[in-house]
Amino acid sequence: MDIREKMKKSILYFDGGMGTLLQQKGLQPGELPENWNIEHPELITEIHRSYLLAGCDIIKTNTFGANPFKFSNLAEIVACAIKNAQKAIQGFSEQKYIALDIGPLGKMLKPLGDLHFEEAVAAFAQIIKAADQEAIDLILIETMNDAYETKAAVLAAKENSNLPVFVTNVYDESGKLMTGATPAAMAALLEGLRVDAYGMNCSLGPRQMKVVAEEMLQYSSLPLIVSPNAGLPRSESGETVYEIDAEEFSEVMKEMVAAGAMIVGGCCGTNPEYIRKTVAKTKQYPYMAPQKKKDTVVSSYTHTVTIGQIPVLIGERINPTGKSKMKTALRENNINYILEEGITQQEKGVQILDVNVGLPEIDEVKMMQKAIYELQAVLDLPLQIDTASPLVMEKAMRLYNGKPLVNSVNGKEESMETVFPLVAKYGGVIIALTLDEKGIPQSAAGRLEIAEKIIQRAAEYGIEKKDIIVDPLAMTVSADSNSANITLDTICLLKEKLEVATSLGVSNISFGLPNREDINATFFAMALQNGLDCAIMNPYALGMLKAYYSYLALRGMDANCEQYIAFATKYNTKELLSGPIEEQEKGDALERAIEKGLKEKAYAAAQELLQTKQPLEIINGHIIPALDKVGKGFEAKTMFLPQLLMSAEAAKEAFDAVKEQIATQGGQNGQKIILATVKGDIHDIGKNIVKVLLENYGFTVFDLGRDVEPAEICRCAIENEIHLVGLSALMTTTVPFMEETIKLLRQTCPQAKVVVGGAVLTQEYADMIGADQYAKDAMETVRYAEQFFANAKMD
Amino acid sequence: MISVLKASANQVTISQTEALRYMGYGKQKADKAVLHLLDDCTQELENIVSYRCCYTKIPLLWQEDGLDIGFACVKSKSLQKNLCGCHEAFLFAATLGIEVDRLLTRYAQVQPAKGVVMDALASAAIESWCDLLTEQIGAGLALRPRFSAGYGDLSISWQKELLAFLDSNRKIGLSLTASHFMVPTKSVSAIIGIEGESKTAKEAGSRENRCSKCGKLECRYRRM
Repeated sequence: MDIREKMKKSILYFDGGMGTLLQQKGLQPGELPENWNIEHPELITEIHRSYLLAGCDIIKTNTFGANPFKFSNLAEIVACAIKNAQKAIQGFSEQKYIALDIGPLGKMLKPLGDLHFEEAVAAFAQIIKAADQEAIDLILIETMNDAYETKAAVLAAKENSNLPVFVTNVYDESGKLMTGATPAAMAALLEGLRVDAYGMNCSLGPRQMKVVAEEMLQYSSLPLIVSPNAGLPRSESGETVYEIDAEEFSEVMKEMVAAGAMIVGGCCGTNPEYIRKTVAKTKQYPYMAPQKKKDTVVSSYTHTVTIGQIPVLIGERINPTGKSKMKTALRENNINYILEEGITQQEKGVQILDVNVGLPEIDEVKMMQKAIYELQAVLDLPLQIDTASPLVMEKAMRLYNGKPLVNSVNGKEESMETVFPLVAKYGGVIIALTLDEKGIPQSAAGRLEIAEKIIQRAAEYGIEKKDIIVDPLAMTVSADSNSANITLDTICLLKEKLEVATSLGVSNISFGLPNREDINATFFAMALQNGLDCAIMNPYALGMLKAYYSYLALRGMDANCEQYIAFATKYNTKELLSGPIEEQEKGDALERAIEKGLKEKAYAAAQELLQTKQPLEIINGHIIPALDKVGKGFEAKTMFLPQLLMSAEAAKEAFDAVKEQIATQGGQNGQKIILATVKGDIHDIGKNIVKVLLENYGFTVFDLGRDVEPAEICRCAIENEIHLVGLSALMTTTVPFMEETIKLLRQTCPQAKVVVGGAVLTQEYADMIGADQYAKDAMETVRYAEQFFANAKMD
Repeated sequence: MISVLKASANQVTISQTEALRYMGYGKQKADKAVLHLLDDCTQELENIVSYRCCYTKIPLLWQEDGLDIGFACVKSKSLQKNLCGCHEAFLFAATLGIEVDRLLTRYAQVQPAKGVVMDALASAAIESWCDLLTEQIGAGLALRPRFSAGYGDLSISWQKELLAFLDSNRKIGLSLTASHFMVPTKSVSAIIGIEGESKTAKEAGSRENRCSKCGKLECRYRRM
């Protein structure tokens, strides 16, 4: 019987630990167990058989560490491991199954580590392709402590095999993965990816794991796998012993099975005896089919957001439509601006971030991937992938670390045909717009009909209603005085007839009207009252937030009005802070605000000055002198790095105030510099500091980020006619890449001079690798840049 | 056997004085704003830090051509000097967890001043964690100062073998990039020689002592 069928009818048993048994048979510390598939095949088969005799149904091939980073003879290892397992299952009357065992690659994925997501997918694919698919029954991806790597492995399995895919992750005492994911987040991710069963293994003993298993059962709609360790290990006269024996282990496993874990086994420290006792004690238990969950859930790499209970705010600010600053940022490849928008919206209280980077003149695929990637590195909100291009949608869904919200599909056949396969493959909750080939119906009944059609078609792709959020479309009331009524009625109908979650782009309602925020806020409150579950909105619009928090408090969704009070207190103080500065501080208020690093005050003081002075006068007469004073203090060691940067941040606020007035783009002096942390180097704190200061002094900085290929730096230098490049490296191991970058720059754009810095760099090193200048800190880089461009002018 | 050790945030005292030293403050006092920032950062860091360590005790076999430590034979004059006279040692790898990296990345991008303070504080935190875990695993023993790959003539690439031996990726989520950067970045791996039973165990690892024994005289963080 196919294991997919079997797992719908009966409890299944995995084998237990391999490592401890191999050590007992003579595996030395540091020796790779996978090599024993070739060197001692009979011993591996013997271990498999001992587990099968103990009563397990599924054995794991001895391939936990078999990956292309560790083994050049990967194919041979995998083939032998499968043969050893095949030999072991011969001669049993009942059916036994072989799981191709895949463990973690031992590397952290980018952007925090250095392994690209697609490289991870390719590495896992190599393992799967090395396996004879006929000889195995399923793929087990196990001991994964990172959600992103888990996703890479599952995609590789799905793309290279039709076999069932089982996944187990490692949760610690806090009930999370080491990289932060909760059981709920893993449930969302893995069910989105359409795995066949999932659960947990390793790290915890059965008692502690039971707590996590019970939590998982609340979220999971699939069979739960549980394979604990035999508790904690300790050393007894040179031998490793585990605190929990087979008897105690099997007692707890009994409770797990009774609670609903239908696929059980063991991990580190367990042996056939543990499995034998577990099987004996639970074999007669009734099979319990997993309960289907109905919640609409999206996730990030740490947590989930459920839509359909308390209304959810989706921040709309990362979208160039109608936002000139965002457009400029996208054209200039200024990822920082996007990150700042993301973080600020998170601080304003949104639970999901919409990401739309579509501009006709830029490469949207590349930009979207970069935005998703970098946002994931700095904030943990679930993202809404918002694009009109199916290609961009697919690339973004693939790279996303979690189960995304996807914007959008509509009732047009073409739209459904392109979008639904993506949701079926990568997982996600999809926003469904109630329009089709005939346009937007002018009645609530018409929009409901389209919603029904979309839900039906989605089901054909295996997409459940819980993964669809219907947007009944807000159209401006200035063009049709009945439009708000239709939208509001549709929300009611959707909730009543279809019991589906709803969403709206709220502010469309006021297009063409003055004081839009008033209409928006009132409409928002009305929509919430009618059952709106989430809103794509501007979290900087105070009116909308006031409506939202008031609604929660009034509808009993905010215990003790805590959120409302916290919100109200916050915006009151904020208004105070940005109010006019005190009379006696005027005059040199701006300089002092910069020197003291007071951002709000610097901004307010610059605005104040703008009423009487010209923008350039403020820059040259106030901001630059204040910065210089701090810079000199730093050079004289009377001021320190944090102060220097706080001043820089305050100066940036002042610049922003001035820029709003003169609407200049980019830097003030028109001089351009590239900054990059070289290939192989993932530390960029130093480079970031240099960037902040250079920008303060008016330079336009092309920040290429960290771990940057030499060719990428040259390409940017050529395209933008750059004359000065700053390179940073932290460790001796990456200095060779710095040298390589300089060599390539000399060949491809000989006009460019190179200044280098970073913890490991010295004048000696700089000379050795052929740099033009060594700068020991950020101020020295600024001084060099000033001098460099001054000299260039004279030439 | 590789053991795992963890600590909660309230067990480790992060030294703000150390953090200030990393930021370049010598004897000068930090101003109020920076001290305030330090307090903020301490709280944020303690909310997300995850102190973990994996370690093991190994016998040291002194050979003609180097030091046999089981999984490798090390040839390093500096390490041999450090371990001279010891017959056992601890190997360990310790980390603050990957969430700290996210926090550092976030502030480095959007609030550099806070980024710098957080970075210094996280460095102080990993040092404090190493001190605490050394105290715990080495209770009652006289220990040599910690010695890490990259010190003296001990190649940084040795770290790869060490972390593989400690199974650090699986045990505590610590991995190495192709350029030998540890991820999470705020991590330490080292060997600690065991002299024997001790009456004054804490002496050996104290910070002042560590600096005086280190040969990197031009180090900007060296204590006088």
